[in-house]
Amino acid sequence: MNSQISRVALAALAMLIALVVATTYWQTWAVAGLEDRQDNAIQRVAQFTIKRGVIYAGDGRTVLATNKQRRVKGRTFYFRRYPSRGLFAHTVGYATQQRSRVGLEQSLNDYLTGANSNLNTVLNTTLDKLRGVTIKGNNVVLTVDPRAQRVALAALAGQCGAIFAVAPRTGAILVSASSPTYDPNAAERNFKLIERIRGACNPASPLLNRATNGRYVPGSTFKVVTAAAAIDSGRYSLASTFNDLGYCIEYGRRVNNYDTSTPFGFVNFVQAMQHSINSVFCDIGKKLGPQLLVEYTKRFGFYSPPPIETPSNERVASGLYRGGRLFEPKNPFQVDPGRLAFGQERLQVTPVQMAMVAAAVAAGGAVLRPHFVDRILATGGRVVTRTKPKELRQAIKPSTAAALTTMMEAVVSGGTGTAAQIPGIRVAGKTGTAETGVNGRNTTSFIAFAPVERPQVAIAVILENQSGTGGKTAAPIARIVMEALLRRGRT
Amino acid sequence: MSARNRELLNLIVVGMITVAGFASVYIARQAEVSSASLSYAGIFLGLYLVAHIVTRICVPNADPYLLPMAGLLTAIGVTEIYRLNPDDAFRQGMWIVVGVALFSFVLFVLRRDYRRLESYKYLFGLTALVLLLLPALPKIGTTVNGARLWVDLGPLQFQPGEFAKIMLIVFLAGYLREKREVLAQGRPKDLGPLLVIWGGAMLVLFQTNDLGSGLLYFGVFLAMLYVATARLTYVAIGGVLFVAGAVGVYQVVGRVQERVSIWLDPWSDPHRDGYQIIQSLYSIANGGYPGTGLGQGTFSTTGGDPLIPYLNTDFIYSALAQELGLIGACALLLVYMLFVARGFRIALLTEDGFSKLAAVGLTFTFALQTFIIVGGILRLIPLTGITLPFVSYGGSSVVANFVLLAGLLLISHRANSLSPQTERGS
Amino acid sequence: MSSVAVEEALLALKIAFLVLLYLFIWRIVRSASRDVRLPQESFMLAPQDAAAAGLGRQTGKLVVLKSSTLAPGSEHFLDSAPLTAGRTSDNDLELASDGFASANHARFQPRRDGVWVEDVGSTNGTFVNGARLSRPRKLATGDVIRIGETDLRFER
Repeated sequence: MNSQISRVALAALAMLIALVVATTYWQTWAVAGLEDRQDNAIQRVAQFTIKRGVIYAGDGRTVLATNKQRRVKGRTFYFRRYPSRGLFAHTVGYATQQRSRVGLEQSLNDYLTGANSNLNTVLNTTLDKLRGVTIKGNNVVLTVDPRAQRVALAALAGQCGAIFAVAPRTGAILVSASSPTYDPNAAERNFKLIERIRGACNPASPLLNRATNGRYVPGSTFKVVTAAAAIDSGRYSLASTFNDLGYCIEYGRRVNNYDTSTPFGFVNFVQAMQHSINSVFCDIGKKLGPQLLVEYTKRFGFYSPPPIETPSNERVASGLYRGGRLFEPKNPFQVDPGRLAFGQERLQVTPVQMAMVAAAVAAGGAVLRPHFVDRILATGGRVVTRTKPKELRQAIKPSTAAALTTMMEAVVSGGTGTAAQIPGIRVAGKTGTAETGVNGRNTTSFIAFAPVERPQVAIAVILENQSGTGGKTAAPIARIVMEALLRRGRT
Repeated sequence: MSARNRELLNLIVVGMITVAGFASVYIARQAEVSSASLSYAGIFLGLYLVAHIVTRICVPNADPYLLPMAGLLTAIGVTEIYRLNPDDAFRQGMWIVVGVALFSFVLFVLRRDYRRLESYKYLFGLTALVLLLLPALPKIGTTVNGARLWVDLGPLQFQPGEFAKIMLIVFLAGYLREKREVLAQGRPKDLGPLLVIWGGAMLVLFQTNDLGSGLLYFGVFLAMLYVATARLTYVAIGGVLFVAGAVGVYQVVGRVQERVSIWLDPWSDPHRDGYQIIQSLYSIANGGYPGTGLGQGTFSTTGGDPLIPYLNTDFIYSALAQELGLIGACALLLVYMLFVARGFRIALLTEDGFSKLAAVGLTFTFALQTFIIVGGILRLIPLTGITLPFVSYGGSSVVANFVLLAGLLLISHRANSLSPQTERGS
Repeated sequence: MSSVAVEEALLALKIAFLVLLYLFIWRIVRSASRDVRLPQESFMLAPQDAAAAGLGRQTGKLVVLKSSTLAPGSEHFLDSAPLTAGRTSDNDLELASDGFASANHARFQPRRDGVWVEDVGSTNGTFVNGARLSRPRKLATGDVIRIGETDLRFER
């Protein structure tokens, strides 16, 4: 019988070895895949045993996201709290028990949970894990200015729209406001509260980050890009003159100015910009052709999602859209260049992109990568990473930027954007009003930078469902936010 | 060193492991467990000292490793149950006391010659059958977690299947020892008993709604049949018959179908049917290499509600795998392997057919049961709700496994007493 | 207790638990591998090794008194290994044409205290000096053992 017994013994041991192999599989190879699953209740709980990093605003004091410690059945959990509530809701986002995460809470998750590949963090986390102590994430300090943000949100109150402001020379994002906003603390316990938020637009979409994910018709603010193409290509200069008839003929049809009653007659380029004369830009657009215009939009960053730190599904590329999709004209006949030149056609832009245009003009033509994160700190306060200014490209020549500055300053000093004047500070800007044909449904916008001689702020304001013009609605808001930011700069 | 001194030394090591485990749970969960409960560990050690003394008296030549291994497994089990639910651990402790008592009783009664049992083989067979059918009876039979495996006698609830298993092995050892020559000739008319037992296994399968128990009984039967007759064709035929029967049952019984489809794709319904197995896999994965440490695993929500139902019975392995990690889980499986290896070694060393067959049966059922439950948790096979020997929370299982241990020690003692050459080595 | 102290203690206990667990496993594996090196029934020993191990020692002999198979008067020596008797060829004493003997009938088992005989489940029983065996019995010189139709006398 012994040989049979040996065989049965081998069979029994083989079964048990299979268990060792299977256990090894589930505890090594399969781990990563299982941890990522949404229905993983353990990870759902385990994430609260990690002390997520604190997120601070640019002043290093205002806490945007922190943890509340609570002991349940002998275990310590850390629940996320957002003390500044709706102030930076769209940027910071939230992290809930159901493991839905948005905003920087999602995109910086690896840093906030100490799971990033930074050597110092890896070492700390591994030691903590081995010792079974609480894993602490990295703290994050943003670039944003909480005071100016408060001003921006107050100015937007009751309206739908967004404000985005950056420091042109560094790309540091100073303000990113989207209205209506929401309280991220409610995302965990009372999501209905967020769903019930109403605004001056329908749907109010409080969760949508309009500053980076909202697509708007730019209207005349886009004329800055057209002018950049016109001058940078060498076809036009500030001294170029035009004869405004109040309209422009395109494909045999008249394209009217905003106000057709009083044609301006002979004007130069600065005046055309100052008074936002559509017919002039229409003619320029026809001369340049749509492909050159699109080429210049790309130089400013159109056609690629804004390169900021928020999750990729929370930011969208600006450009021509057809059927909800980004589209690039392959031949000149696909796009109407005249209407494109003054920001109509099927052009759609994000506030962040328009702020990048203003910033590029302010920075002598250089496009700097906008960023939210100033520095990431390890538990001991050591800097894990610090964001350095990164120039993406030189969009236009410095001379072109200088010419555009002249034009834009004229807009504020004596054109459509006088509402943006700040006493004692030279402001350059451009208004935009995209008509929908229905009064009260215009999209108005304003882009600007200041001070002209040494720009510290570049801003884009876009408002939905307006009855006035960009100069009357968006420009004053841009002014008070810039004032708040510049006052900060002086102290 | 004598076998019993070695056993004592090993038990001391087990005691140290138990103390380390209990202390770890105690420190990690001070908020919930009282310091008085630390004395559980002490009581536990005392219990094994008693068992050790009984082996010294009754089976001095028996294998010195089986008792410490069983002790280690129960210690790990009680520690984990204690960590999950201190009240359950107290009850489990009581059952271990009962188990050690029955263990001592069996050793004492059968210490001279257990082979007397062979003469009562049919009585054992009949009792096993009755025990197996008990849960099917109205009024006293109850269904727990979908499987009809329980008998409820007011204050006492038990799973008769656990005891039936051991009686069946005694019966089969006696029966096959007697009939092995006839069976080995392989005449069709001798296959009758094979069919009867197959029918029995299918009946159990159908009655209990539990694929695992049927597989367990039939697998043990096939292993013993093979050892007795040396005919692989029987194993093949038996295997085919079982699969055919299982397929038949699959067609009829909804619960079995459900189990199989969950096994094939648990994520098709992750919040209801697949929930248990999926969360159990997450629990295992959460352990990684080093484990979270005893008392520090995640088994409840942030609100304190349990994440996995039946954690300390069916799913105790996934709790252990999380807290002990791959390193600890492999150690646990190694202990099972060594227990099984020692059991088969006894089967090889002992000389008469009855003892060999009984040792094979007892050892193989131990191995197969471990494989069925842990394999089910690890998704090697469809999940069935049977216990992990010595570790899972459950009175019947613990007590029955102590009887199994007693049986192996008796056979081992006899084998070592009879062959002087191996005894000298021990 | 401070939380750091708790964490250190838990880490120490965790390591202690796993180390002890593997120490225990190692002890068993080590002893098992030592067992394998020991002579076992399934091991064939070279004669000189067997002698060295004290296995060749004669413990007694069986003299055939009456048999339909074995030559009367023939002697079968016992050493420390057990000796089996039965009808089939895997027995040491093969009683092929003894119609009353079972396939595996009886076994002679040398123990420390002497040679024991036991019935291994025969149909017709094993008798010592005319008494049917119900349990193993120690043999004394001169005992007559009946297996089927075969009579054997045990001698030292």
